[in-house]
Amino acid sequence: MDRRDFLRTAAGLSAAMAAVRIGRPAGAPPPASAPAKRALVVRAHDPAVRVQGEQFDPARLQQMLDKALMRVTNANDAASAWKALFSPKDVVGLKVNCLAGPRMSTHPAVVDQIVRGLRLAGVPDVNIYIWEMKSPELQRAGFQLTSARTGVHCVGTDGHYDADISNSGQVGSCLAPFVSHLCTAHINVPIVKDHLVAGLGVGLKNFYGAIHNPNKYHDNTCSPYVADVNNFPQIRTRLRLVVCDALNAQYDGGPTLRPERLWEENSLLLGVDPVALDVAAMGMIDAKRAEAGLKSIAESGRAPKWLDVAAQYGLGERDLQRIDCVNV
Amino acid sequence: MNKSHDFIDRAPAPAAKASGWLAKWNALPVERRRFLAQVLGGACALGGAAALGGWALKRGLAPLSTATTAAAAPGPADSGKYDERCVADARYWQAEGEIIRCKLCPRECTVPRDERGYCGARENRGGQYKTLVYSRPCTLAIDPIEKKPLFHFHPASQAFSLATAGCNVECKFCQNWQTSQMRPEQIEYIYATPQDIVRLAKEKGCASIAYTYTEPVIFFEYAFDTTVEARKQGVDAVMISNGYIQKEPMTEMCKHISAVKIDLKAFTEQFYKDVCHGELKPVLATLELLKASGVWFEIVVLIIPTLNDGEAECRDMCRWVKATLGPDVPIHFTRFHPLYKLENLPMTPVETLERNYNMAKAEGLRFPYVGNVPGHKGESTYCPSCGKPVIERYGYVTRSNLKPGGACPNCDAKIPGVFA
Ligand code: SF4
Repeated sequence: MDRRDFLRTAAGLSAAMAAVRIGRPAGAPPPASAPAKRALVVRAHDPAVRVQGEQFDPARLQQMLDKALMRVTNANDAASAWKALFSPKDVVGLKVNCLAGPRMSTHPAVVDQIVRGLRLAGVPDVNIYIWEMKSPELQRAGFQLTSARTGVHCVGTDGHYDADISNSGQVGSCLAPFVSHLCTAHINVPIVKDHLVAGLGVGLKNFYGAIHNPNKYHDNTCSPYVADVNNFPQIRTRLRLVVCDALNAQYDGGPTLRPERLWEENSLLLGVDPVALDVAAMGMIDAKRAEAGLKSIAESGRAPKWLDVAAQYGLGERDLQRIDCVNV
Repeated sequence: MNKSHDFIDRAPAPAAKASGWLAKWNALPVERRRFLAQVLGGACALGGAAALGGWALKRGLAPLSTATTAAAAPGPADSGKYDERCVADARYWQAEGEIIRCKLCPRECTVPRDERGYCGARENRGGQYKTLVYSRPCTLAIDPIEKKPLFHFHPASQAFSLATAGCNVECKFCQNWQTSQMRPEQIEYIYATPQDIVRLAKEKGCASIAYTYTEPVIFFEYAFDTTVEARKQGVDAVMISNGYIQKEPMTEMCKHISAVKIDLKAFTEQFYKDVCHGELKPVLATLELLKASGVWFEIVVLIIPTLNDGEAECRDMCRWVKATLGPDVPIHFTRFHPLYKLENLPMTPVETLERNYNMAKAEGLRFPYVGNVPGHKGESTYCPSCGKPVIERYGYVTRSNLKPGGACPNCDAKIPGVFA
């Protein structure tokens, strides 16, 4: 997808959304705390970032990430951009997504660059947690597990959830400790994929990895549950940034890897509005589905209604007309 | 006296977080612990603790009959790869393109590759459906059969009770949520095949094996194979279930199972939807199937203040039971205690249970019970002909006055049930 495609996607998506009525339901009340400003999703795209196969050029990745974050934060340099969002006192959790294994998981190379950025903001390594539900999934995706006292932690929850239930809307779950008490700030580092049950498996869905019982919340295309999970105060108030790894993306058949439905997008999507970022990513997926002669996600009966609920909760902007999708 | 909520079929409490030697013990591979437990179990004369000795030891040499649950707090067994010995082919499913539709329970989960069904115990692995809890009990205990409760099935006998992780509903009042609402890898377990279970049950002198605490529907394959093996060896098996299961698997189970207890959570679809994330209709269908099959079964209704304690609901239920299942089905009205997601509600007043008990009698049901109120006269069984107590109970202390075969000692009337 090139620069024009990303912008076209935005325009095309709004028309498609109107056609299939997946926007906020007519007559529905506006979000309780509707964002006053337009939302922003920034795409950094560089085909040369891919050296070969799943090998990426760290310098180019760094450039993509910093440029995008500078645009998100309106900062003049990378250090200022990272400092705008994180302080040395923060304990930062990076929720990656590794369920589908190599090629359809968050790339360690992307996470390396985020860690570098956090260092620019003065966040000590020991205050950084890269985490996922299960250690073996992290390993399968190429992460090295670490829990040294001095370095960055890379760990699976592995069943170590809170002993008590926390409630949010219709969700009642034991939370992963990274969410419940360890981290003061979260960076969501999802991937871009179609999801046969939820419709969309990008940023908001990624936090299903923070609850002990995600299997309980897949009815009704995961709605309103995805929104409820993201509305836990421990997530909602601490989410600072979404860095979506769109080096690879999958337009159909997720959440598992379907190599024949994967495309090398060679992009990162960044934003501080998690709903807007998912909306933009869905536009990319739908554009690719159209290219492949497939119906859109919504037309396939999998419209992620939880995006509407998330907007009603005030988690972000659902209306593509109010989202600026910008390339850098 | 025990706290009254110990009188319901609750799994033993989770073990405390490990420390010191306990942590070292927990750090051992499960198989190693099991082996040591066998050795130590014999040496310590833990009543032949065998495979259960590990947990008995872990919980401070508590007697086997009370201490047998795995810790809800995850232990080292959870951090590694999945124990593939516990993965077996699932039954009752069909492929629909890339998705598997599970046909075991009425929820009919549609499960994409690498994902699990609602219960967390069944997984789509490369287009093949697998159960993840075969031979993987997370709780084992020896309980009086009255704890299930089954009151008309070999009174005062012992049931070798087991559960695996997972459940196909989520009741907001679940007393075993630390196992039922967990995925298998989130709680400790031991590896115990159906043959192991039957052997242990026999060694412990248990008359039956009970699938209980969580929901046996979701460990159907394990329960079914254990039941078949048990019957071969002269041990009964009983199923303590929510009845939320499809007709075909239940029909198969009825060919082998000796008794079933069904939790009828309420008599309205609204309650099932709002409080349990389930449905009433399929549960009623299971009760009808049980009636037609001839398997002995009893019904338990947990009465929860403000949610299912209305008079009209109780009357409707009793009338349906009598008309559809007959007057001889025991129906236990049990007392609610604030738990899990319903900690805001009070305990059920005993008067409400007594009202339901009397209403059931007035509607023609011959064996209503008041449950979870130790010492209440409604715990005992009375001969419907002469009114004399034929099985007296105080909590789990049971004295059967029945004649062999289940006749009233006073008037010789036959009491329905399964009696030696
Ligand atoms: S048994 Fe489990 S996977 Fe199967 S339909 Fe029921 S809840 Fe879903």
